[in-house]
Amino acid sequence: MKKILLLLVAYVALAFLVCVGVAYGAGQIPAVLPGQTTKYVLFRALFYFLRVLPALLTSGFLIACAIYFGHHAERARERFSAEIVAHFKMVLIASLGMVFVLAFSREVFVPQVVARQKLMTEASGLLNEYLISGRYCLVVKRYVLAHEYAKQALRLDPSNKEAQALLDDAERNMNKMRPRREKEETLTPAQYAWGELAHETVSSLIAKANKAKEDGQWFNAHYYAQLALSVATGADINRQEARLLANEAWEHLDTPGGLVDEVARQFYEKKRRAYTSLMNGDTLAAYYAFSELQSDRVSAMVDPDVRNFFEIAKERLAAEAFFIDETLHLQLFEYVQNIYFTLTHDDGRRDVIFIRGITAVSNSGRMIQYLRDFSLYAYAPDGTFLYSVNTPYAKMVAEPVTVFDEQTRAEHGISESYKNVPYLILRSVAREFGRMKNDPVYTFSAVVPESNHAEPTAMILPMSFDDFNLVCDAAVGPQRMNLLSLIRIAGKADSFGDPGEVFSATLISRLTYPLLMLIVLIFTAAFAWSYRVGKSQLFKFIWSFALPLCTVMVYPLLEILLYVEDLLCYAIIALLGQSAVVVAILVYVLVLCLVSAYFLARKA
Amino acid sequence: MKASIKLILLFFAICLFGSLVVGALVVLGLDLRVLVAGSSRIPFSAAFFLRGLLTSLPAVSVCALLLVVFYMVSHPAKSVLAVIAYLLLGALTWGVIVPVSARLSGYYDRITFDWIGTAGGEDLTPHYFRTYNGNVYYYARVFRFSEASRDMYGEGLMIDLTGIRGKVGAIYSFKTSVVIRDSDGQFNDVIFKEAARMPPLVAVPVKMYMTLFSAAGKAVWSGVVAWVAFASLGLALLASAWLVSLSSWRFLQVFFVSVSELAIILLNYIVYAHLLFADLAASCRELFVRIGMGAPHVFSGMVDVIEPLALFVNVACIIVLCVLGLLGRRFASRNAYLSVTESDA
Repeated sequence: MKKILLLLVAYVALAFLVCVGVAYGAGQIPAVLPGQTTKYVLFRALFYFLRVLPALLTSGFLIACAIYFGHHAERARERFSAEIVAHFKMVLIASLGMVFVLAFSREVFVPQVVARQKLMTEASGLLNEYLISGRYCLVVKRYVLAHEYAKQALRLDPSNKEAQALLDDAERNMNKMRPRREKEETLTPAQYAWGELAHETVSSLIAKANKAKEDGQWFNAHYYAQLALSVATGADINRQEARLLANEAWEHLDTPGGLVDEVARQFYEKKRRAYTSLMNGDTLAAYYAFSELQSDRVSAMVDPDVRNFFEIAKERLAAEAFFIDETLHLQLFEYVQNIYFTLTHDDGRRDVIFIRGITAVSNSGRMIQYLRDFSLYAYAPDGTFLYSVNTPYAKMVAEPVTVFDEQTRAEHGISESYKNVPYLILRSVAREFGRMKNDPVYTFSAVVPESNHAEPTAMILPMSFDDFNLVCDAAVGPQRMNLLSLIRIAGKADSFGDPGEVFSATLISRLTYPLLMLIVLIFTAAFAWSYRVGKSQLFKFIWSFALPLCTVMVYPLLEILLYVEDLLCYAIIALLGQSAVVVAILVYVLVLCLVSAYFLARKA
Repeated sequence: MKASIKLILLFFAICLFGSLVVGALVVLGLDLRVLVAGSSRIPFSAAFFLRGLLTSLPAVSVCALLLVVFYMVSHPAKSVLAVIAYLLLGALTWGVIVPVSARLSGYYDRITFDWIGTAGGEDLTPHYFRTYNGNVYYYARVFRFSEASRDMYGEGLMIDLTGIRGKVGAIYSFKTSVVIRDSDGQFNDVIFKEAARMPPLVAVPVKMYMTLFSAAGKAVWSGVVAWVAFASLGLALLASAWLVSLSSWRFLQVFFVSVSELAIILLNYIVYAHLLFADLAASCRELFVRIGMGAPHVFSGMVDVIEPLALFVNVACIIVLCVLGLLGRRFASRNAYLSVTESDA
């Protein structure tokens, strides 16, 4: 048995060497980074090797069994004898081992090798782009981004000195900066506008307003009284008190006292104008105004209102816009491209969504993502075009469903079973006042009355965030996507505009592959039993030359078998629908039992 | 006697089971052509099933003959009757099954096209993304301008991923556009074109088989002599059974037979598909006409139908196989004699 195993291992190793030879000879080697040519050829060889591995193992197993059974078959004189059961156990264990290797190779190794090959062919151009962008970011003082570029460059080429120098420079500059400044680089996804009201009631807000009034903090008094008014219902007994408080505070804001000089008066005027913008809902103007006041460090330090309301303005702005410079050169970091899917609303409307590319914020676990060239086309239930919205970049965050009240959930078709939903900010603005801004472009069909021409700068997609990630995973197609994601999406592919038949058939094909190979291997062992070496025969060395030829014959046979299996999968899907997966697995198990019985019925 | 009956039963069982399975697979392959995403409808046509069955029957019966050889190797009976049964089954295959299938499949071909025409008329379903020539199409609704019209139109959008209309990634919305159709006209819904695409290692054997089947069809309509010339392929395939004497290991015996049959089929395909030996084939045709000078009405008219080079190749194969078989037999008896002498000594 050891000799046979040795023969098999030697054969597989030899086959790998042949693959290396073929990989060297097969076609031109694309431009890769210096010193990576050999590595690329090895990956190419590995790809070829993994492609022929099923045929290699099946043919090797066939010959090995034929030799082994030749010397151990004589005692199995009756069908279903104890001896044949012992042989079957051995065959089953060996087959399971090989099936494990094959399934793992198909689902894990092959995609990894393909991805590595792709990365190596793109690395040369990417490395250059990372270094250029990194250096640019260093010049414009975007150190965090420069650091990220350097890390990506080093991932491609760990020995690249230029990338290492870029990383060192970025780190040095980052260390010089205060941690707070780094935090302000982007608008962080807080609880957005709802965060201001978290754990607050009308009474608590009025209490805060009264406290601020007693302390002479009239901006805060007005702010809390206004918040109380915004949440109080018509029947609320506190409503009147909140209105009186707001009016009183506003009068004080109109006629401030204690302004000692012209500078102080001008500062107060600016602050009041900024605050008015904030209260009137012009968050962007308020943000820029408070940002300007904040830059006057001396005044800002003595005036807590500026600091507080700047934070509030920033928090509100985060709910409706993000900074354009957050998306600088993000395209290089996209993890998926060309994503398209549909969403069906409860009333039958359908949204068709297309995204050119998605970049996830590092270490966010895909909870914050930037969507390039986001487009949404809405269609009525009868298929008539309603409106479209396009934006060059959208920022998406996973928003917990719990932050939305019942009415909002009903309005946006958010199911309570969702944990998080994708919250999209469609508007991007410049960090400094007066610069450009990207507003979403809405186009309405003539059938939509003008009164319904709402153009929100943020939207909630009526789907769970997990489903959004699933759709992104599915962008590479059902054959190449992660198996676990395929299992989760197959049943609902139609609702995303993907053909359910193709996804389900691919799922069956991929799930049953181990069972199919197990059947093939046990059948191979039964075949080997019938054509085993004679009891008194010695295995001649020259016979081993049949092994590669046998591999050459088995390879197309397996390809044909897999193709036929694919056809059968479609038939099962069409006949049985959603229960097809379970039925297909049961059918395979039944065939496995039959093939096992066929093996057990062998006798010497 | 028992062994030869078993062989005959085995042959018919394989032919029956194999044809049914292949016929069903052919119907499935066709279903993917008429299937429309979301409709989950698999139409069935008895006529097409019969066509698939008839087209596949020659291949199945040739495989069945090969499996009969496999059976004879694994159950050596040393009976002349078994060999006679094998030869009779060969004669049945090449004298009845293949010519009848080739003759009837032409008739079923016409029925098939009619069926695809009717079954393929189903409307394209809206709300699916369809990739066509690298671009993505989405139809929010699909409609016809009149009941009688065959042309279908759609309202929806096209995502330009190839830059065919200018900018890569641009979206073009349309209100009325003729829906996309498979450029080859083979598939009702392009979604399934990729799914049904045969991998090269499946497409090549199918193409080889269809080339030979088409040649069989031509030969069978051109008279007995033409058919006999084509059937030399069958004789060569039958002769490969001689190779069982080349090795004492049963696995190698069936391996040699399989390899030689594949080689013979490949050679015939190369000749019939005019892939190689064009000059040689032309010389053979000339020679063939010259041989038939005395009876030009028999040979010269058939040169366009049958391939004389294939006939010569098959005859050469038969001779080589017989010689190899005889040598192998002689070598085996010598080895047996030597081993007996050694054990006596």
